[in-house]
Amino acid sequence: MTTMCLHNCIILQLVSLTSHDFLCSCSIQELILSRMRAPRSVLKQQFLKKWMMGLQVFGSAKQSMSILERKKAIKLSADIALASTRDGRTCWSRAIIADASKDDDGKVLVQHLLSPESERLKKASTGLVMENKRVRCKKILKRSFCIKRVRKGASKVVLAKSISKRIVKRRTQVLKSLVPGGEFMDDISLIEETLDYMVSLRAQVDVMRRSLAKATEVVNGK
Amino acid sequence: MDLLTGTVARSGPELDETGLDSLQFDEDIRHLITAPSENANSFIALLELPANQAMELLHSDSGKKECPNVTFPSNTSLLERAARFSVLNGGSNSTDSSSVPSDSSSKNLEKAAPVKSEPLETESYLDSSQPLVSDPTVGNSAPNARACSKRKERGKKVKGASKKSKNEVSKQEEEKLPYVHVRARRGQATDSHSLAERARREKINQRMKLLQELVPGCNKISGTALVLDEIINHVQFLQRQVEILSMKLAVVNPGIDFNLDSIFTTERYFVIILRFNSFVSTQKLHFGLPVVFADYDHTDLPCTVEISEFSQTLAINLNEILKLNLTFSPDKNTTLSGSLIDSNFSGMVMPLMWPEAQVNRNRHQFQRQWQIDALHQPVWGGEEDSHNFITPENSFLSYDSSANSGTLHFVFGSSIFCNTISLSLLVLLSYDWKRNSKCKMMLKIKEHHSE
Repeated sequence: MTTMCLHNCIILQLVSLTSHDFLCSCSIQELILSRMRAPRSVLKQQFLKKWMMGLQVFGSAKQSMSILERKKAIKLSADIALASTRDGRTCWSRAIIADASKDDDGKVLVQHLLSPESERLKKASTGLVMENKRVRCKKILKRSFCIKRVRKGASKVVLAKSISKRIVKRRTQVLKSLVPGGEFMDDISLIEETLDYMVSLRAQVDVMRRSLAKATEVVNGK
Repeated sequence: MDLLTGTVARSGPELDETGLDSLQFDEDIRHLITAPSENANSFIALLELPANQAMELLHSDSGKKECPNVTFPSNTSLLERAARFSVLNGGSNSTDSSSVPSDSSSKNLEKAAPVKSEPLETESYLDSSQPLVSDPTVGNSAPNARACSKRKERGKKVKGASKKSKNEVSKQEEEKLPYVHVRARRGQATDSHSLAERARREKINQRMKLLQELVPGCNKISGTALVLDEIINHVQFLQRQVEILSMKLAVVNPGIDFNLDSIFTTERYFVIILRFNSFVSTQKLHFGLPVVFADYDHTDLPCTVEISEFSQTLAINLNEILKLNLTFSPDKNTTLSGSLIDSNFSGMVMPLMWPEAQVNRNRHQFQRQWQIDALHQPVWGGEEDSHNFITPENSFLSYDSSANSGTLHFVFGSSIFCNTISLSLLVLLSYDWKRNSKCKMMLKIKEHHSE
């Protein structure tokens, strides 16, 4: 029987494997899926990747470090990785990177993590310091000229308002101290920055927790 | 949806770790993932994520696409507010009243996918004769800034003692949604200062609302001070978490070098279904995994399935061809005489371990599971597994190498094919996530002479 030697190539391109929700309840799926690590958001993936890259910088030195140093290294690389996912578009990320660039460890990390990427970010982070100093000086000047008025309003409403204003002011001060680079922002942008910062922090916590779980799993398995 | 929506949706104000963990756990179970581990992967990133990331908060990567970072509950009013917010942001830019850079408008609060926010955002140039606030035509104009400032002035001019109530105005805004139109209420001062102040307060309030949605448990609180309190607590909590976690990681990993290849390589399963005789399979056998179909019509010849990686920068480990699964028509007379004759993976570092089945815990379980599962499939007609499956020992191969292509040859006796409906391969790919590149795989099915 003649068989044609067809060279019938069917080329499939597996271009997109989508992430999928595993909704089936079949037991075999559970098994398969237990081996799958479903992708989280892009942000988290980027963060993880950069974090790991940063940790590799420490590399072999990790063995010789004390616990606290290790912790600092981990946290530092996590923070810088988090900031770098924002690519210099947000104020807090620039502030973190600017702060980190001040000492040696951070500088190395920053260079390692950021050099393939935006040059703009690096410039922004170095320029930030100068800009913030200027802003701070201006604010000090303004405050020195501002005279606090004696509150004449006797009505309760006005009083309550002023009290609440003061409380809000105090709280915004606290918030400014929490968010990195927050002291130099006005109210509106402060809130935006907080929003972004909170989201990123959450992603960071999530990734770290998962990697902790995975690492303990690996360690226990050994 | 992502984990974060789970946390947002939670109503309790407590955010202790156990709470988060259990929610995570629920989420995981819900998604049938029992091993909570991170899967950072650009392989996944290239998986053009479908619109299951409907609520996309934030940041475009390099300004191009949106990061599907799902944090907000999908909520149309929220979307509106978000769009409004982004509009406001754009508005504020032109007036130079804030220091927020213009790309921040696309930043935080373009969370809705651009498709959604666009219709909400646009407006047309307001004719001064129109008494109403806005008639935004749904187009796609981004710069509301100019229009916004102009409208503001118009608003001031058009009505001094306007009879329009603020509610109506805001309702208009809510419906058509574009921009801030500050209109002085009856009896209020119309000088620029108070208007500007009011605009500013509006902005702040809107942003506070967004923050409220983000922080769990803040929805019920009213009043700026208390909300701020909650926000501060939340941020402090998160920062503390980071500290604690990094401490724990430092403790856990004295020796682990954070060698990522072992920990964080991603494995992907997908199913390749080879269809013979142009049969359109009605069975969904692929368990929700992504499926690649290949049609193969010359069924009397052995075929070679070659899976090779296409782009050079990627390292895919074709880890396991897990299961070769033939499904048969109800005709029970067919016999299976296929086997994996030869497989040859180029560039292998380690010798191929096939045909001995590798001792691999997962795979054994897997085998068992498959056998059980066969009974679920009616197409297999209750035939016992040995007929339907290539026996596990033959079908599993695995190797650890960084080969980026592999070839499998399948040879089947010709009696198979007249009845074979489809052949599905469950392929497990393990991907080195460090290489951040697109992945294209080529699946070639070649025929050979059956000598």
